[in-house]
Amino acid sequence: MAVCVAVIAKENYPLYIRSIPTENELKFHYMVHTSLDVVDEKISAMGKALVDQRELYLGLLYPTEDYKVYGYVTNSKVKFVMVVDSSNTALRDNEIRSMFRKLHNSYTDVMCNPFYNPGDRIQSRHEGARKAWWQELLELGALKRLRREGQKTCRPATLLHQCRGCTPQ
Amino acid sequence: MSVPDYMQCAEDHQTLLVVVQPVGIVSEENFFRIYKRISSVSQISVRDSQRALYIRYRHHYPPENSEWGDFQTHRKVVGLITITDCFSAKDWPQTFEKFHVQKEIYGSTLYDSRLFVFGLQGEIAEQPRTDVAFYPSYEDCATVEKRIEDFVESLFIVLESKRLDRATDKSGDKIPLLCVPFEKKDFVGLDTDSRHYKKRCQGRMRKHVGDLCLQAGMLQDSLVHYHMSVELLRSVNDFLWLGAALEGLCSASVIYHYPGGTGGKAGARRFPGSALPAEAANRHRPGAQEVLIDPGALTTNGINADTSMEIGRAKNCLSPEDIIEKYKEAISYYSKYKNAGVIELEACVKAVRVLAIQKRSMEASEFLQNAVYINLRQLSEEEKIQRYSILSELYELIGFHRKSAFFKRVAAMQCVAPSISEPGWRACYKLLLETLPGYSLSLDPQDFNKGTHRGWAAVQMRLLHELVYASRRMGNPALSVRHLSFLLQTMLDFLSDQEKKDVTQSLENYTSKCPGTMELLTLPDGLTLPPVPFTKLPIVRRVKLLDLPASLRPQKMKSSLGPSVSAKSPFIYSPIIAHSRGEERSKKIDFQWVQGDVCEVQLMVYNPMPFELRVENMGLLTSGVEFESLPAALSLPAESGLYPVTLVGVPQTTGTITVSGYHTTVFGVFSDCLLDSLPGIKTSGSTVEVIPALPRLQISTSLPRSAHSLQPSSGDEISTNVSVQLYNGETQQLVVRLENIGMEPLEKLEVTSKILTTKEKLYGDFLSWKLEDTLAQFPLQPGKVATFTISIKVKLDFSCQENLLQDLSDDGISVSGFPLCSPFRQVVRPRVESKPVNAAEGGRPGEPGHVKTLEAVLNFKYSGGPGHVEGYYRNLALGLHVEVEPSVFFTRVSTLPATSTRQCHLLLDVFNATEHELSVRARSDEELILHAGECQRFMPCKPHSARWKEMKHHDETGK
Repeated sequence: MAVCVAVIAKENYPLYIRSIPTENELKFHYMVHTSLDVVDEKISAMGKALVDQRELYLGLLYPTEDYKVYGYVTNSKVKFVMVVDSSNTALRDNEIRSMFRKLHNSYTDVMCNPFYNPGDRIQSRHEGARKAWWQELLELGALKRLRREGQKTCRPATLLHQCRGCTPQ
Repeated sequence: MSVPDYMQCAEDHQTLLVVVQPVGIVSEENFFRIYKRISSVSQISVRDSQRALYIRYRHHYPPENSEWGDFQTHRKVVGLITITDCFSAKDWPQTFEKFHVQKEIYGSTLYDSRLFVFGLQGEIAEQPRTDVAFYPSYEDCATVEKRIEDFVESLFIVLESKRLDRATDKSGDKIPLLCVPFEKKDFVGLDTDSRHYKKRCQGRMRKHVGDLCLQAGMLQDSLVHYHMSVELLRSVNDFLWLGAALEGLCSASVIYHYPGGTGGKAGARRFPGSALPAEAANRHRPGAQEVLIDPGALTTNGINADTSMEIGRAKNCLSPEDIIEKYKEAISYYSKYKNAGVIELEACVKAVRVLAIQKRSMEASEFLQNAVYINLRQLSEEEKIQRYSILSELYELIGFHRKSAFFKRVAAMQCVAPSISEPGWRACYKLLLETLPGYSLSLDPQDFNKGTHRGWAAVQMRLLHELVYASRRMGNPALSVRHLSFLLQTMLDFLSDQEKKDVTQSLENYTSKCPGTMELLTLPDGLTLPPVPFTKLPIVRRVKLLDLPASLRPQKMKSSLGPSVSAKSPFIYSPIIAHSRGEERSKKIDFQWVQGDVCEVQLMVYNPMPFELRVENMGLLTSGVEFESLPAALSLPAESGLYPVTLVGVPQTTGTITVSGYHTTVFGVFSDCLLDSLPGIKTSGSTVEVIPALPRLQISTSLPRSAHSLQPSSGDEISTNVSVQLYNGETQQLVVRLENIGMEPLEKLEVTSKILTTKEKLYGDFLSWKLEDTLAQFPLQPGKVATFTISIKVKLDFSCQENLLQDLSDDGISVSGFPLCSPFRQVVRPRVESKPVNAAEGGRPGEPGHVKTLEAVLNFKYSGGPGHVEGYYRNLALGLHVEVEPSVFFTRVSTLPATSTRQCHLLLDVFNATEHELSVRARSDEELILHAGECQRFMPCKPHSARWKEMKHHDETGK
């Protein structure tokens, strides 16, 4: 499961960053921030390749002791960074890829929102966007975990609530 | 081997290590002066050959690292230079003894040593010695470099002999097993006769010879030896030494490929000036030539070199890609040994430097990632700091600025770790500052004015908090105030309500000791911190310069020359001029302020904080004119809406004033906010002309003030309104007190009146005055009072009905029954005709008792002082509101024929509309007493002079 998802603008500032254990958000901020070095490096190395053949998925950016950081870059140089728990061996490259693809679709939805100014922070409060984003997050992480715990019948909204509630604030 | 040398790079493998140390008491300054001169001799071309020798100088080197000298010879201290002060011959034996003690420390590995004695003169200094050099003082030691060169040459001789010794002889002898300190016990009792053991010995010795060759400047030979060593050691699985051999191979290849060096500055220093290309060219070949000169070096004994190798020499050198492969391999071998952690770490660092030159950042980052996880023994705090710093530096080297910043920050935090007894806040702060670019944070608030903040707010905020804390602990409250202000100003949008409260609270705490200023703070290392004006506390949305109130507004006397607008251009109209004038107008506002008078600027502000914001000392910043700003203090409620604030000030000189901004003190931080740098501000121009001082006139009258305000037609405002109630036909004096309340003498006064359009018909002068009496008192000095009398004369229509005179003509004629009175009619009629016509036009004159009003504006144009010279005046308007109550009415007019046919009697029916008794008199010969509400017929006078005399009523009650 993903513990942190970030969308980073072309100019390398975060448009959206959210992590599941909310109590140590800053750690993930640092993690995603430093991963941009690798993303930049990979992009500049990729620059030589033909545009149409470009692979958006950047693969593993770097592993840390507890997490693995994956990257993805759109053609407009918007970056997606996802941090997953390295203990989770169920997530293979393909799963990561499909998660990124979903993320990309959601991002496209956000961009389609006429009330969204490109370059602004993505607020999950935007009704349409929120749905997509939280769904994404839930799909990526919380939902799986909660499902494992046997709460299949919960609606996403309550799941979210519980997910937040389980971490002392 | 416990202390890693993070500065090592691949080409250090070819250097000879020389330790330079002071003995006894040598001042640091003197020592480093000599040390600097010594280290300038870092490269020597050995005479008789084209080989170059490289020296690495250290003033501190742990002797235990020297024990790894067999493993990698560049770790071995081969030379020792000691520097000492000695002023008398008496001290000399003692000094020399110390030198020997020092020599003992590195004794086992030293090739040669030198002692530099400063200050000693006389007999002892005269004797020629090779190992000791005497200099009279630190200034007078011109031959130091020469001495060092000699010393290096002597080192070379030893090195060369060792190399030849190892490489050539002992053909029949057993090759000794070289080993690293921790291996020694492993080989106890091992069968020294086995092939395996022999191969191991051979392999290690080959590697050692390779090292020596490299140091002696024989690059190609070293490559050959390393290659052979790799083969030998691989076959016996001697991994540690195999790693070393591979690393040697890499180092030699790096030296071959990158003659400029990989270690940054250190490398560059090796090839000073123009010598570089020549040196580099030389360095590629010496090996080959040496082999030709001295073929015997490689051809004997058990570690025999195959002569065919000479052909494939170029192949011996690794390609750039292979270098990295081999480094990887070497590191993987090192990692098998816990005790070789330092070697592994240093190899990683070296590989990273090579990769940085090859611009292969990704792979470099992998090496670094590995280096992070190499677990050395328990590191001291200082070593940790060093390690993180070097990681940061290396990440910077490969262009990973964020990662670099991350590690630098970790290093900074390490400086003040709780386990350290004396936390280095200064160092921590310095390191933190260095991380700023990595987090794309500049400390100039100007950079944040462009629209919304875009960056890693959470991370940046943390960093700023740390800067604040570090600077506070450092004992520099001014810095922490500056950083905290910066945090508040730039990160306001990202702070939660609670954080806003906390930050402002601590800011207030800090500023209570050290108020925030607008000065540029300069740090000892030259970095400057620009001031942080609080442009968001409060946020100013609009700035509007206000005109003076109407009564104080200066006006320009009309110039007799006519309009001067077109004076500059011969064209009546030109779009270009119009355009430029339009631009000018957008900047400059078309009203004037007056020197010495209070001027106002209105700001629309709001408070973005979730609590009440106290803004103190809020005033205007101006330029162009000396301006006395009168600061205001305000308190804005939490998250207020737009809130108007008026800032005032007094211009002290004349000219053009530009309101460039405002200053505030919020939370004890003084800020100068310039309008130009404020985003999203609306301003309607900020430049105003200030004209010379004018007097100020205050008017008070004998009449009560009126709440009734006149609606002037021409737009000028009326400062004072007075009202009076009069009976129709009554006259009253209005005494106006003119007081000069300004600072300038009042020199000129003009009074004009304007009667506002009224539906009432007015006869004669409503207002009349004599200005001469007043002007006689002029010039009116400040504080002085003059009086001015105006007489108000109310004369309105006395007729009661609109058809009154109609009656006169009809009725009179019918009554008289006299048809031949055309001359009368022709004479009299025109005189009276105007009345009914006007009365009819006036609509309804009303019933008896109807109150009519008259309104007039008295304009006092006055001037004086310097403003008068410039042709400005001020206009003060006094509104006069007169309520006219009816006194008498002529309800009916009729004529009676008189004795003569040419004459007739005029009969008037007079009605007293007042509540008082009054007498009516015409020509003062007859008097008629009329009681209130009474109506009588009255024949006023002789027939021929049917003219009105003024009516007077006698107010019996004295009302």
